[in-house]
Amino acid sequence: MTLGVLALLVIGLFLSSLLVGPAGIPPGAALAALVGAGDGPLPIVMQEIRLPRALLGLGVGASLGLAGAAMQGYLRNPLAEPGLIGVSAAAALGAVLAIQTGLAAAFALGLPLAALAGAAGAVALLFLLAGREGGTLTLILAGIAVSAFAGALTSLVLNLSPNPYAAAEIVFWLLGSLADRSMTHVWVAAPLMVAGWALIAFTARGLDALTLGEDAAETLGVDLRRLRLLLVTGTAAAVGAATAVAGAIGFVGLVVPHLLRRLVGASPARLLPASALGGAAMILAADIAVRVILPERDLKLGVVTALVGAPLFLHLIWSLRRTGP
Amino acid sequence: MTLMTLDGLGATLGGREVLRDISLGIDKGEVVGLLGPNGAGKTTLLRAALGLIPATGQASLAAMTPRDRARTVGFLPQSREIAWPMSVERIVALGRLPHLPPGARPEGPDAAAIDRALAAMDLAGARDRTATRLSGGEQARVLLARVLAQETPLILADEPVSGLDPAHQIATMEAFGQLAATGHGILASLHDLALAHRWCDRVVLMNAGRIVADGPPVSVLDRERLRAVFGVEAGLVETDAGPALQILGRAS
Repeated sequence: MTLGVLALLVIGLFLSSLLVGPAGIPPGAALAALVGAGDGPLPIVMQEIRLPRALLGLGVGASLGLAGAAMQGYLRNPLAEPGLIGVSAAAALGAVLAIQTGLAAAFALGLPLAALAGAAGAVALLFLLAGREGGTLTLILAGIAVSAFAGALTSLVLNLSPNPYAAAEIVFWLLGSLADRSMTHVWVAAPLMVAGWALIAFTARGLDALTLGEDAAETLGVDLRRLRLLLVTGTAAAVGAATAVAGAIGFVGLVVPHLLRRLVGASPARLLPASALGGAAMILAADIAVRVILPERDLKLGVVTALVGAPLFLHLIWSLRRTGP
Repeated sequence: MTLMTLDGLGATLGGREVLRDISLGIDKGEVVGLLGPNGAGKTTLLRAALGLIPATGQASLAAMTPRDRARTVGFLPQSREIAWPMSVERIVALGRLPHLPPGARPEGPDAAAIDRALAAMDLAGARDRTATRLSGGEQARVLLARVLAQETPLILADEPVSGLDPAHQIATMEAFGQLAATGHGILASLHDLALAHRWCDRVVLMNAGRIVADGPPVSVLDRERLRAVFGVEAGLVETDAGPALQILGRAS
């Protein structure tokens, strides 16, 4: 029921994302152009500009929502979010370095590939620090360390940037956006995102069992080491790819699982698909908003998700205080 | 038939030897009480027997694959965690995870097992309530019902009756007794000596990481041993239901 409603919402927003834009194309002609009909620039606008943007919105949002729900389930903490293991910060550092060194300008995939390298480095460092055995606390501490270090290096790059234009380019990239992305970005990010989703999907049962604590989960047949490996690599693939093509977008992985938890009966396994759909809906909606509100000012996606997410979060805290956990 | 054997089990936590030379077997059809003062090593023994912590010596359950173990033994940990506001029924249904193929929902025999567990723990009326909003004692019963729903030949329970009201303490021991009568085995750590004396078929008394006595309650729980191990004076009082153990005070 909940999943059906969310799926319809995502389909509606996906179509809206295809139909909203500065070109002002009538819906019928737009959808026809999508499959190659029509003449002039129309098919190119639809296939090369609108479609990748909508697809990336879908993928990035689903990745953030899914990884957020999985991370909260694993840590048994509603304040956890996918950025906690340092992958987003490290991917952002890779992207920033690509901008700074000119790699991003040199060839189209320079930036996303550098960001993915950053994410991969973060995972390697994470397993080096936390070990393959350790518990959840060492994982969190290692993630915070990786995150802080990558954040410091990003600040250092900004600090040393040769001119204000380079600094501005970095800052704007960090705010997150889906504007001016091509199908090439989709081909780079989509396989990693889908692989990440598949890995996270395998954690569903283990996350449900973890509701009762680690000892209970283990005696219910859950291999906690395997679960952690699936979760960390899945999150790194999905969120690393999302950050590589869209920049650092906050609050989606934190707020969406929160909003939907009650609707699915609080089971971490059931929250996974719901949160993936919810994340996709939130990013698609925010990306439509940046095109409708102040289109001439190039509002950034990460700004909108935070502007919407923070009050939603405050509302949740407020309702939690009234009704109890 | 033996459901679990420990042979020469030892465990060291943080450089301190907390379990030493433990040999123990649990058979079908018996409710075994694991007794001992705080820090005697009861929880460590249960966790080492399950293979949850590194241990030396032999433990039959620890040698199994996680999936086989989950179908052989149900474990109630001492810490009563319910992380998310799930319904009582969903929590109890987690006990069916080891029996379900991936992605399947509990139906048919699994749903029947959940119903039996809810009924045994007097929770049939609470199945749709949010588990995290129940009282501590009610949550304890929900978690025990989860273990019962797992329907394993053996149950290891770490302080299953602490925090329960007297009627539900007895109901829990009766549920264990009924399981034993149908061929299950139960090993439960307990602090209530009178309860163990009355309801257990056998008690294992621990002190300082070792087993100091193992046998029927009437022979293990004698006055000298209770004075030496627990530092309490105890006596048997005659009641309508037979002799009952009564703790009288601290040993001088």
